[in-house]
Amino acid sequence: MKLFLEKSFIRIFTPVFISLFILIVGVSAYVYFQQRNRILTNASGYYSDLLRQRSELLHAKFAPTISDLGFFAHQLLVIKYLDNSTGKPELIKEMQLFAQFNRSYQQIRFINAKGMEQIRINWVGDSLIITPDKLLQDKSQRYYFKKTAALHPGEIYVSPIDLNMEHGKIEIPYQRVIRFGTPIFNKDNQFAGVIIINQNLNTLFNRLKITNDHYNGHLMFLNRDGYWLFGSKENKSFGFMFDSLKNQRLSNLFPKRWNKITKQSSGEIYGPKGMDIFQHVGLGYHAGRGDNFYPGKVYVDAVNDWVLLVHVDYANIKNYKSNKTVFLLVLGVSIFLVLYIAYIMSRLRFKEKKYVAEINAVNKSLEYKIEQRTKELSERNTELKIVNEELESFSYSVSHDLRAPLRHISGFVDLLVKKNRAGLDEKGVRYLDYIKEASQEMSQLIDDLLRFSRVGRTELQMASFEMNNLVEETTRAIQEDYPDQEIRWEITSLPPVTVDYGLMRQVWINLLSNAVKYSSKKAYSLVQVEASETSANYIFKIQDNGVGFDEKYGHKLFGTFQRLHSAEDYEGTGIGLAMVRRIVVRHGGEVWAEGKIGEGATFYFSLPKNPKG
Amino acid sequence: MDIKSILLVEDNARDAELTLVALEENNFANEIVWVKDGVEAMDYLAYSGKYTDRKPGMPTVVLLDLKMPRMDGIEVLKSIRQDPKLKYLPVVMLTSSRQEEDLIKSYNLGVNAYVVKPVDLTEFISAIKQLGMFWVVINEIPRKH
Repeated sequence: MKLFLEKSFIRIFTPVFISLFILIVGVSAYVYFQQRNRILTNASGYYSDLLRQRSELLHAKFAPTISDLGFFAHQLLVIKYLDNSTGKPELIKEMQLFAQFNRSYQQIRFINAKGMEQIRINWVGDSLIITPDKLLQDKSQRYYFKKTAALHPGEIYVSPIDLNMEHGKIEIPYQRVIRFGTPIFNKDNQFAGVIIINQNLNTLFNRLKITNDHYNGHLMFLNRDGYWLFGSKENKSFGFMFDSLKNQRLSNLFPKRWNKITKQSSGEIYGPKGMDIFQHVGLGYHAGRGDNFYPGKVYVDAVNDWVLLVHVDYANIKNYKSNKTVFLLVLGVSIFLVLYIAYIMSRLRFKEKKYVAEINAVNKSLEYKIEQRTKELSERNTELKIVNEELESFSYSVSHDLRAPLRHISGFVDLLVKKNRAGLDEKGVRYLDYIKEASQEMSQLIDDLLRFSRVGRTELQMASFEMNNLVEETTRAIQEDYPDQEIRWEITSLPPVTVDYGLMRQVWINLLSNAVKYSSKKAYSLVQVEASETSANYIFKIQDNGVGFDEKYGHKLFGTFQRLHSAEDYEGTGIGLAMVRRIVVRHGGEVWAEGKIGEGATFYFSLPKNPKG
Repeated sequence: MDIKSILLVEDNARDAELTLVALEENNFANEIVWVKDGVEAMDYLAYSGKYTDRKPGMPTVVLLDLKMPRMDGIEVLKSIRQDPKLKYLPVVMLTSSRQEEDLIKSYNLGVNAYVVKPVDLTEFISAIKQLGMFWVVINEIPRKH
C-alpha cells in the first residue's frame, strides 16, 4: 500500500479506479432504480386498490340512504298525512322503523313548505326520541331546506359533509353529518315540504381510521376545496367550520400536489421522501367508472367531489427499505472490491512498467558493453592479423633468406674442396666437411621449424578416410628410407576417421619412422599398431622394440627440439614429436607415451569420434 | 643446331656463380646470359633498355629466381605469360623457398618447372644437369609464328 506514495503509481491507479468505479456505480444504480420503480409501482398499485375499496365503502354507505329516501317519499302514508293530519302517528311510526333499521339515520324530519319542522325523530344515545312539537324549529333559512325545496319531484339533494350544529353551535362531541333531502308534493302536485335524513358518519369515519392503522400509509379524506374531512394529522379537519382554521387546507399547504390532484381522477405523486396515491370519489360521479351514480336524480353539493388520498413514507415500504439497504451494501462492498481490483491491476501495470524500464536500462548498458567488447575484439583481431601477417612474412624470409647463405656456405665449401683439394691438408678437408654438415643440419632445422609453425597456423581440411590405408602407405614410404633394415609391421584393423589427411599423414610418418629409427640397431624392427576405443574417443597405439626411453624424462618427449638421445646415435632435430602433439591436439585429441630403457617405447594418441570441425 | 642460350635471372651474385658453375660443369649452353632482376630480364626479352641492340634470338629456357628487388620472379612470369610473343617461352623457377604458396602461385601462372635449390652442391649440379638435359636438349617449343 505504500505504492500510493508513488506519483507514477497514482497516475496509473486513478483512471483505472475512476473508470471501474463509474462502471460499478452505474450498474448498481441502474439495478437499484429499476428495482425501486418496480417496488413503488407495486406499492402504488396496492394503495390504489385500497383507495378503490374505500370509495366503494363510501358508496355502499350512501347508496341505501338515497334509495331509502326515494322510496320513503313515495309512501302512501306521506300522501295520507298531507291530506289530513290524522295520518301523522302512522308516518312517525314508519320513520321510527327506518331509523331503527339503520342506526346511522341520526335524524329523520318532515319540514313543511314554509320551513317549519313538523315531524322530527332522532337518536339520542341509544333511544329514539320523537321531538315534542314545542321544540320543533324553523329551518326555512337552512341551506339544505332551500336547496331541497328547489328540486323537482323524485329528485334528491346531498349536502356537504360537516359537523352537526345544535342551536347555532357545533355539537360536541363532533357529529360528522351528511344530509339527504327530497321535496314532497301533495296530490294536487303542490310543493308541501321536504323530508330530510341526517346521516351520522362517525361510524364510517371510525372504520376509515381503523383501516388507517392496518396499513403503513396515512389515509386522508378531503372535500373539493382541499379541507380535510378525515385524516388531518394536526386536527385541521373541517377547517371550513372554524374561524381559527380558515384556509388550513391541503390546497394551501401543498399547492403543487393539490394542483396535480385536481387535474386527474386518480394517480400517484412521488415526492422525495414519500408518495401520495389519490382517487376522486363522489356520489354523482364515480371516478373509477366515470358515470353518474344516479344520473339525473341526485343533486350533490359541489364540494362533495371528495378526494381519498393516502400518503406513504418510502421508509415504511418494506421492500423499498431493504432494496436501499442492499443497494448501499452492494455499493459499499463493490467500492472496496473496485479499490482492490484497481490496486492489483495498477500494481501489475506499475511493476511491468518498472521492469521494462529496468530491462531497457540493463539492455542499454549491455549494448554499450557489447559495443565496447566488439571494438576491443576487432582491435585485438586486427592486431592478431597483423601479428599473423608478420609471422607469415617472417617465416617467408626465414625460408628464403636464411637458407640462401647456408646454401652458399655449403656450395662454396664444396667448390673449395673440389677445386683446391691438392692445396688442403687432411685437417683442412675435415674442417670444411664440418662446416658443410653444420650448414646442412641448419637447413634441416629451418625446414622443420617452418613446418612446425605451419601446422599451428593452417586451417584443418577435414575429410573421412580409412586409417589402415594411410598407415600402409606410410609404412611403404618408411621402408624405402630404410632399405637395409628388416621391419616387421603388425597392423590390426583401424577405425575410419575424419581428420586433416595431410596432417594425419605427418603424424603417422613421425611416429612410425621414430619406431623404426630407434629400433634400427636391433636385428629387426618390430612395429605394432592397434586401435581401441572409449565412449568418445578412438585410441591408437604404436609399439616398437627399440631402445625405449627413461620415463623420468617422458615429459620432455613432446617438447620442441627436445631430445632424449644424441644426434650421433639417432639423427633428428627434435621436432617430430612436438609436431605430432600439435597436430593431435588441434584435432581435439591427446598424445602420451610409455617406455623403459632398452625395452621399446609405446606411443598413444587419441582422436574424438565426433570431431568438431 | 641453333645456338642455345640460357637466361639466368638472379639477384644474388653468389647464387648466380654457383648456378653458372653447375651449368658450366654440364656444358649445356653456348651462352648464358645473367641479369640481376626482373626488370632487366624483361628488357632483355623485349630488346629494350640497355638490351635494345643485343643479338637477336630468344633463350631456350629462363631460370628465374623468386625473390628479387624491383620486379620479382612471379611478376616476371606473369609478364612473360601475358605477352603473346613470349608466352611459350619455357620458364623454370629456381628458388631457395619450399613455401607451398609460391609453388602454387607459380604453377597457376603457367611455370614449366619449379626447382628448390639443394644445399648440397653436388645435388645442385645434378639437378641443373637434369634441368638442362630436358629444357635445352630434349624439349621443343613452338617455332616463331
